[in-house]
Amino acid sequence: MTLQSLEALPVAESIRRSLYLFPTLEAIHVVALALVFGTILVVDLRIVGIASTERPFSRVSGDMLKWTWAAFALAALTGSLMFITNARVYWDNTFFRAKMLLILLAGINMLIFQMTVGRSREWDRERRAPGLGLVCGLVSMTVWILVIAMGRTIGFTTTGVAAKEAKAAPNIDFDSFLGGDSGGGPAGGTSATTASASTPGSPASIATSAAGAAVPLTIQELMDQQVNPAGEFLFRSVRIVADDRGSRLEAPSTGAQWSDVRDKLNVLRSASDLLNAPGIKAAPPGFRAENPGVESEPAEIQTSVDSNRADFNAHAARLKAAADVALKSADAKDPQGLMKALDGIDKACESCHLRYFYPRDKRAQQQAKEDGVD
Amino acid sequence: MKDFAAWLGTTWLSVAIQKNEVWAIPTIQSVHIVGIGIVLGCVLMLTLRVLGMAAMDLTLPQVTRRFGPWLTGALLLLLVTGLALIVGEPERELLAFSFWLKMLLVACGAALSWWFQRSVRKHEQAWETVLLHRTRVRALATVALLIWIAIIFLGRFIAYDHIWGSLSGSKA
Repeated sequence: MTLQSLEALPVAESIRRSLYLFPTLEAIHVVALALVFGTILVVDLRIVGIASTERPFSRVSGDMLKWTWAAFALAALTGSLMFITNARVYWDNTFFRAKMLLILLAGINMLIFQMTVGRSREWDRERRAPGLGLVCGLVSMTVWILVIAMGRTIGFTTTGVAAKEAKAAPNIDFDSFLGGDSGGGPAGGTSATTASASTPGSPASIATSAAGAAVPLTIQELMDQQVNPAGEFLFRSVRIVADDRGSRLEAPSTGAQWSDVRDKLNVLRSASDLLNAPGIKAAPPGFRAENPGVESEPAEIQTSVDSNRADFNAHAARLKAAADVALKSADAKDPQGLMKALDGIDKACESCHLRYFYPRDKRAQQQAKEDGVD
Repeated sequence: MKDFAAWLGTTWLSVAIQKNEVWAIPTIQSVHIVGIGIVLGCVLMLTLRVLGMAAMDLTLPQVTRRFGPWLTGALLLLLVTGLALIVGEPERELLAFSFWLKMLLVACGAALSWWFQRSVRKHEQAWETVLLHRTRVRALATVALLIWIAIIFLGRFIAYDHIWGSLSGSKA
C-alpha cells in the first residue's frame, strides 16, 4: 500500500472535501492527546515521587492506565485519519517522523518499565520507584512533552511557516509609496514577497522548513504569499483618481518606485514558473475554500489541475507573458502603457480563476463576459 | 475590537513574538497544550471520583487536595501562555467567534473549579456523606468535564473560524 493509494481512499477524499471533518478530527485529537498526557503524567509523577505518594503505585496506575490506553487509541485513530488526507506531505515532514519515533520510544520505555520495576510489588507503598523506574518515569514525561511539541510543529511546517520563511526578506516601504493607506496586517509584512522570488527560477521555488526539509509551495500558498500581494501592489501603483480637483492618473514617479514595480512584476513571472512545477498541490493539508459554494475546494481544484495540466500551464504562461508586457512599460517608465498591461494581467488571472478557482460562480462568468475575458 | 487588536499588534511584546513567530508561536502553543493535558487529567480524576469510578480508596477531600492545586496551577499556566498567544496574534484570536465562546466557557469552568475546591475544603464532611450521592452534584461534575472538552474543541476551532460563517469576525 503506497502513500498515494492511502490519499486516494474514499474516506480520505471525504475528509478533504468536508469543511468540518478535518477541524473536528483535529479537535478530537487534541482532547485525546491531552488525556493521554494528563493521565500518564499522574502515573509518572507517582513513580518519581512528586505526587500521589501516599497512595500505592498499583492503585494509581490501575486508576489511570485504562484511560491512557483508551485515549491513545482515539488519538491514533484521529491521527491516522488526518494522515491519510495528505500522506505524502506528512511522511516527508521531519517533525512528523520525529513524532512517530518519539511515540515508539515512549512505547519501548513503557515496556522496559512494565517488565522490570513495574512488575515488582516491593516498592508499591514507598515514596518513589527504585533507580531504573525513576529513569523510566522521567523519560516518559519528557518524551510525551516532546511528542506534543513535534505534533504542534507539524501543523506549522506543512502549511504556513515554511512559506512564511520564504518571504523573510527586506520589505519595500509600502506605506510611503501608497500615501500611507496600506491595508497592512499585524505582521507588517504586507509587501511580503521577496527579492529572491524576483529572480525567475530562483531558490524561492522551494521554501525551506525549520528542519531544513524542502517543501514545494502549493498553488494556494503561491497565490496568498506571492501573486496576491504583488498584484495588489501593482494595481494600486497606477490608477485613475477622480476627486474635486478633476481626474488624473496616479503613477510611480521616482526611479525607486518604478524599480519596486519591476520587482513585483518579476514576482509574478517567477510565480508563473513555480505554477508549472510538476505535481503541484492545490493547497496545504487542512486548507478549505474561504467561500465554499462559490470557490472550489482544494480537492476539486487538484483534480481539475491534474487532469488539464497542459491547459493549466498555458494559463500560467499567459500570466508570465502579460507580466513581460508590463515590464516593458515599466522599463520605459510609461504609466499609460503600464495601466494597459495591468489590464492584461488582470484578465490572465481572471481567466485562470474562472476555469480552476470558481468555475461555479455564475456572476463572475457574467462579469467576465462583459469585461471581455476569454 | 478591530482597532484594539491592531493596536495590540504594534506593542513591543507583540512585535517581539511576531519577529520570532517561526518558533515562538508553536512553542507557546505546545506549552499551552501541556497545560491543557494537566487540566484535563485533573478534571477527569475529580469527576471520576465524584461519580465513584476511580480512587475509591481515598476520600473526596483527599483527591481534591491531590488534584486541586495542580488544576489551579495549570490554569494559571494556561492564562499566561494564552495571553502570550493573544498578544502574539491579536487579530487571529480577538476577532474569532470561537475565541469568545471559548472564553465564556473558560469563565464557567474556572468558576466551577473554584467553587468546588472551596466547598470541599469548607464542608469536608457534608461532601463525603451527603453531597456525593446527589444526582445533581454528579450531573454537575459530568458537565464540568464536558465544558473543558468543549473548551479544547473551541480552542482548535479558532484556527478554522470561517466555519461559523457570518458569526466570525475574522476575514483571514
